[in-house]
Parts: sequence; structure tokens; C-alpha cells
Amino acid sequence: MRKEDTVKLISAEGFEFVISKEAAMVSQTIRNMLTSPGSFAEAQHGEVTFPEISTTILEKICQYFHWSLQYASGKETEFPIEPELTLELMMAANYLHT
Amino acid sequence: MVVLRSRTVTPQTLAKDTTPSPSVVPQSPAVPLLVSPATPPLSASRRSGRLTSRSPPTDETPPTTGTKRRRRRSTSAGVCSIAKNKAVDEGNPAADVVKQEAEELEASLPVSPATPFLSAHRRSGRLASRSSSIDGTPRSTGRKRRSASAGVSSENEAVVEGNPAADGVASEGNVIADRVKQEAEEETPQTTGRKRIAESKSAEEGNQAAERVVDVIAERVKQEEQGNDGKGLSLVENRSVKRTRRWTSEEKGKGKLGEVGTLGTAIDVRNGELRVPGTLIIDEGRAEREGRQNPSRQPSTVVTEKASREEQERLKERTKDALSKKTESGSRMDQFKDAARKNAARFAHFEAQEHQEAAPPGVEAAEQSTEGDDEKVEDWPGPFSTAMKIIRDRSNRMNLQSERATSDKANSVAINWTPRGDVGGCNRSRTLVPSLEQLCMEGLAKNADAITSLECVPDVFRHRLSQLLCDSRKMNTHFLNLLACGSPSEIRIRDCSWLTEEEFTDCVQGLDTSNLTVLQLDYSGRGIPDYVLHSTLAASPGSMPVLNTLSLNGAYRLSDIGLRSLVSAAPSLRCLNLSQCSLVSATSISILGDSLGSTLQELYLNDCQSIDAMLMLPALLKFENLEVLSVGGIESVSDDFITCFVAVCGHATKELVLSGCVKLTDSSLKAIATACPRLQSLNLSNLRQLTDSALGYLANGCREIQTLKLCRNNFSDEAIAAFVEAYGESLKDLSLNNVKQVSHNTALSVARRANNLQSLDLSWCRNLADEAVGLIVDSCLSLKVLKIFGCDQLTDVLLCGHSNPVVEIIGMKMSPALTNVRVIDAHAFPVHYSSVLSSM
Repeated sequence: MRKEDTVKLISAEGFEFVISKEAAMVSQTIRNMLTSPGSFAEAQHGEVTFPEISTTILEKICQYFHWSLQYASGKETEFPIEPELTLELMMAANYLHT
Repeated sequence: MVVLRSRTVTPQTLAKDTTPSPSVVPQSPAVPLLVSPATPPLSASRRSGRLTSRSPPTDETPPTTGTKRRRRRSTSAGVCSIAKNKAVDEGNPAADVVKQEAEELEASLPVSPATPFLSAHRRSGRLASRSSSIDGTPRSTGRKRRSASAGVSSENEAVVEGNPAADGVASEGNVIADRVKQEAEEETPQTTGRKRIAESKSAEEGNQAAERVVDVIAERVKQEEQGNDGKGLSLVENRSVKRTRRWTSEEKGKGKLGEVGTLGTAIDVRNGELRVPGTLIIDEGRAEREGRQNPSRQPSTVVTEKASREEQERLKERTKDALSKKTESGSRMDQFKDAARKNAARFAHFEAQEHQEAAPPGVEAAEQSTEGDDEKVEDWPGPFSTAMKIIRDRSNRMNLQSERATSDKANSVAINWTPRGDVGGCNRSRTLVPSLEQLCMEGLAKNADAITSLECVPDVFRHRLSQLLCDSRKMNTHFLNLLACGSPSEIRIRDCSWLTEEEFTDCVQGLDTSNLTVLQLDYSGRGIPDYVLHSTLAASPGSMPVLNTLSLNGAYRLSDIGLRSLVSAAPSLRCLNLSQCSLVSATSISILGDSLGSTLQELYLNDCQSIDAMLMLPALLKFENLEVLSVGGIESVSDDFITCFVAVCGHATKELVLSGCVKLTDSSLKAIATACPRLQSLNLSNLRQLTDSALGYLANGCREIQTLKLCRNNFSDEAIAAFVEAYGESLKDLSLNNVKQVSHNTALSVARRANNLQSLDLSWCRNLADEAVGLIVDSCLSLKVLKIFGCDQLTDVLLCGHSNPVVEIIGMKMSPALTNVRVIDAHAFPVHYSSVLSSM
């Protein structure tokens, strides 16, 4: 993947997740950050930091992005969520509008 | 002597019975005595409703009763009904025992005591009495009941219990007759044993088995009684009536169901007075058999006759009633149809003609004056009348121009809408990927019991989770305690029907209400009577200082007194929902008016049966800032009420819910239009007396209407179209559910003008074809939800051909209806219209 096609998501602990832009756009919040007309730092650098989202949660969110693309393209599978993550994941998902 | 007899009887009769309970034996000495002494303990035990020591009067009874009891205990499922059944059974065995003894003992046991025993039971109003009336009957009834209850829920038991009342309704009658026959023909113990076997069989196999057995027995009986046509018929009737009875019994708690078929047999199940029509049949059979029987049966005959003589009159009457009212076919479907026909009136919506017939002269005068104004409304300068004229002219022109009989649009304007070409790609593009939030929510709801704390979870999520749990019936005290931890600011539970008084008290006593702003405990009637409120929420005045929203929808045990203490505990209430609180009366409204007159903004009183509109009017006028008044379902709401109310409070009114207030006519709409300029939401469902001029008034007066809910109104297509033309741009939520005349004019207007429309309900509007709805969907770009229940004329052309990416179409055939009913959450905010310091 070329650099222009990817986005870097940074968790609270500093872990960096590099995913394709298409996957990141599943989140309405990220989509707005990257595509809004104003010149946001995120759009320019291609990096988004999430100080409130922990690493495990962010990882799960990235998995969801890819699962969502897969689902929309026809392959409908189950998305497993570990029960202990569910509460935080729900709040993070709400923040990310995804 | 008696003891010996019982011992001999036991091995024969109780094929599957275990050894008789020793506790039973000592009572045997009491047997030779009059039966009546035995009766009191029996009735007492029955009255206690326990399974404990039944003191069977005879030896035979104890073992059978005991074993039966034991069997029953092992198989019993429900609680009360089973206890009742057992009590009945106990009564039956007692009666049976009495009979057995009488029969077996050559000595003449005093039969008459048995009768008072029986009648006492009857008077006690239990099913037992029914069975006890006749020797054979009680036994068979008891067994029947036992077998029925054995493997089944209490419903069946109730059914069975109810059935006996319906004279031979159930196959019980058959069984009874069978038993009677058997008694006559065979040794009683064996009969008992066989019956018991049948019972135990059914008990073991479960309810269906019981039914089968019973039916088998019934069949046998039927075959055996070929000569007895009348009885056969009654048996058939019994069976079918039994089925119908099932419904009746089930609905016992729900209020009086109309007379169902053979229910006309004057059997008042709800009063618990069970007369036993079946006993009459049995008596007849018995009489017959007795005639045929050999003299050795004399004692039984004597017993039977004496026991049943009192009943015979009654039974004969009942049977006659049953037979006369029973149709000849007696089929089950007819029974159901009759039942449905009789009960349909409760659910039907009556046509407008009926209302007009019943209209008092005062209303007629008002209507006349309204009609006089009819022309005036449309002549008033204004967008509505202009629109009406344009539409009328247009449709006249179209009618003149095209006489095409082929298409539906012949009578109205042509609609130009072509569906998208790629019909094939329809389904795929419609599948929405489940959002992560939704997935998480579902996961949480599944594992709600594992959640240990909701500490950092904002209220939005708590509400959503609570709603999900309530909807999936998993809500319990664990989650309630989670919600109540700490110092919560909002607690919303939209279904508290599971909540008992103890649970509620436990939970709420520890609740810190100092920060509570929103409390919603809907359908909590079971758990919130007045005294519980006094000890918890309303314990002291001002205990909920910042509570501004309180919803006690469906708190049917809340009365005026409870409300008074609640109001004193929550002085800053701004939104109060007391819908479906049947004990709340106009007094409560005065209480509210006195203490919350200046602060209350929203008042919901839907379906409060005890409130008389005119009585509460003076109190209502005290509210200075009432923005929302919802009086749907209160039938005493009249034009005068509305006129007076809006005259005083109309300036602040933003929402009025008048659904089902069937007395309202156009004059109240005129009053509303004149006095409520800021009206934003209006619900006029089921108001059949309104005519087009009502819409005219509305269009001319209320310029800010955003939500308009019409259902089963008699407005014409042109009038609605004109209304939308005039003020369609402010409409966000429009419901035209079952407004039959909606057609292309409306579709055109909506498509053209309703740009901000978010939710549209076109259910049951059969005049709209695919093109019309497609045009609407493609033109209303803000449309999120379109409901089209009952619109059979719409096809996949619409579903796949429209090009609106956002809209959710609900209600097409074969689409899951309930999963898609995600209401645009109107209850997210505590107070709808004015900005309140809300945490949301």
C-alpha cells in the first residue's frame, strides 16, 4: 500500500496502527477528520491520535473496520467480541461513530 | 374393617401406587362415622390450598389420595392452580372415597351427609365442589384435573377446572360418563385404578398425553354410549367447549370475555361457582345404568341418586341450555368463530356513522355551525385555500383530459417516476453493516449479568442498554442495582413489569436520589403501590430535589394519595407521565395544579380511565407553562374541554395528543388553530368526526407544525395535499396511517414540498402505487424512515428501484417488521421542547 492510501491511528499508550484509508473511513468521525475541507492536522499528516482509547480497544476497532468492509462486499460472518472488552469498545465505537 | 378393606383394595386399584401412606391409615377409624366430619378437614385443607394432610374419610381414599397426591406433587408444575387442583382432587377423592365406601359397604352409609359435604364444597366455590356433586363426577373430574395438571402449566389446569363448569365441556364429561359407566359395571376400585392409571399415564406423558388419554376415553365412552345421542352430542360439545374454555380461562384475568358459545350455559366461571353441567349428563347416564345394573349395585345407585338428586335439576337445566345454545355442528372452528365474533366489538374501530348517530344535539349544533363555516375556510386567503383550489382544478383538468381506464392514475394527476435500472443490485446494497456500537450493545445485553459496574458509562449508554434488556426480557434486579449504584442522574427502565414490591423496596431504599433528574419506571404497576412509595421514593418531602422527569406509565396501583406524596417529594417536576394509571383521578390533577402549576411543562394522561375531562379542567387551567398535554384515550374529552383549555393555556402549547378522543369535531380544531400558534405536534388519530375543514383551520392557524399524526381520519386526498403544499416544509414527521383516501395528490405534494420530512407513515394507504411512493422516496432527501405496512400494492419495483440511499423502508411483505422498528428516539430528551438543564 502506498503511503497516501494509509492512515495511522495512535492509541493512548502510543501504539501506532497503520490501516488503509478505506478501512478507516468506516468510522464517520475519522472520515470527517480526513475529508473535511478545513486543513486539519490529521488530514495533512495522515495521523490521528486517540488519547482516550487503549491499545486493545483500538486494535479491536481496526479489526472491525476490516470486517465491516468484508461484510459490505458480501461475505457475512460473525464478529467476535470478548465480553470483557465490550463496555469500553462500545464507548469507543460511539465516539468514533462507527 | 375399613382398614382391611383398604388394604385389599390397594393392590388392585393402585397398580402403580406405592404403599399407602401410613399417615393415612390412622384416619381410617373416622371413616365409619358420618362423612360430614370428614368434610370439614377436607374443606379446610382445600381452603388452605395446601397439599398437606388431607384427611380422607375412608381407607380407600387415603391410599389413592395419597398416591395421587404424591404423583401430583412430583409432576405438578404450577403453584396455585396446582394447589387448587389438588384441593379439588382431594375433595374428589374424598367424595370418591365416600362413594366407594358406600358402595362397598353393604351397610348404608349415610349418603345425605355426603350431599351437604358436596354442596358445602360447591358453595366454597371451588372446582372441587363441582366434582363432588356427583359420585362419579368428582372422581373423574378430580382425576381429569389431575391428569391435566400433571404435566402441564397452570393454564391447562385452569382450563380443565373451567371446563367442568361448562357442563361436560371437556372430555372430562366423557371421562366422567365413562367412569360412571365403569363404576356401574365394574368394581369401583378397579375403575379407580384404571382411571388412576390413565391419570398417571397422562401425568407422565405430559399434557398432550393427558389430552389424548382423555380423548381416548371420551371416544370409548362415546362408542359405548351410542344409544345416548344427546350425551354424545354433549360430549362433543364438551370437548369443543373445553377448547374454547381454554381461551376463556386464560383470559380470566384480562377481563370479561364475551359469552363464548356454550358459555351461555349460565356458568359463571369467574365467580367460581361451578355448577356441573357434566354432572347432569353423568346423572343421566348413571340413572340409565342404574336401571340396567344388577341389584348388587343398589348402594351405589342409592348413593348416586341421593347425591345427585339435588344436582339433577340444576344439571338438567344446564344441559338443556348447553344443548340449546350449542349449534348442531358443534365444531371447534365454529366455536372459535363465535367467540371471535362476539369479542370483535371490543377491538373494532367503529365507523363514523355510528358516532354521528350518537352525537348529542349540542354537538350537532356545533357541527352545523362548522359546516356553515366550511365555505369560509376555503375562501380565506391563505396558502391552504389556494392550494385546495389549485389541486381541485388540476384534478378536474386531468379527469377531462384523460379517460384512461387502464391505469390507476386515471382519476388523478400523472406521476412521472421511473425506477432505477439496476433492479438486480437491489438486495445487496440494502444490507446495512451492523455497527460496532450495535454489536457491542448486543453483546452486553447478552452478558448483562456479568457486568459488575456501570460507573464510567454515560447515561446514553445506560438507557440504550436498559432498553435492550427490557425488550429482550432480561431485565432484572442485578441490572437495576447497577443502575442505582452511586448517585445516578438518570434511571430509565421502560418495562418494570417483572419488578416486585420487595425488589423495588430493596433497590430503592439504598438509592441516592440527590442527583436524580430523570426517573422512568414504566409498567411498574405490580411493584409500586402507594405504600411502597411512601416508604421509599416519597418518604420525605423534597427527597428528589432535582427530579424533573418522572414517568410512571402503567402504575395501576398508584392512587391520588401516592401521587400527592410523590409530588411533595419532587417539587421541581417538569415532565410527568401518568399514562394508564387507572386509579389516578381528577383529584390528582388538582394536586398537581396546586403544587406544580407554574413549573409543570409536560403532562401525559393517556388512557387514565378514572379521569373525567371536565372535572379536571379547572385544575388544568392552573398550569401556566404546560407545553405538552396528552389526553389520548380519555373519552370524556369534548369540544368544550378543548376550547376552554386552549383559550387559557394555548399560548404555551406545543404538543397535543388527542388520539381516540372521539367526541372531538372540527370546532375544537378551530379553537386549537386560533389559540395555539406555537403548536408543533398534533396527534389526531382515530378522530373520525373531523372533516377537511379541520385541516383547513390547522393550516391557517398553526404554522409551525412539525409532527402530524393522522390515523383513520376521514380527510380527503385533496385536503391533505393542500395542507402539505401550504406547510410541508416544516413537517418532520407525518403519519397518514390508514387515511384511506390518500392518493396521488398527496404524493405529489409531499414529494414537492416536504423537504425536511424525516419520517413518513403511509401504512394501509392502498391508493398509492409504486410510482407514487417511489417519487416520494426519491424526492424527500431527508427521509429516514418510511413505513408501509399493509400496502400490498407496492412491489419490489419500489424497493429496488428507488435511489434514496438513506431511507429505511419498513413494512413490506416478508421483511422482518419488529427488528426494523427503531423509532426515531423521541424520548431521548427529558423535556422535549424547551431546553432543560439536561445531562444528555
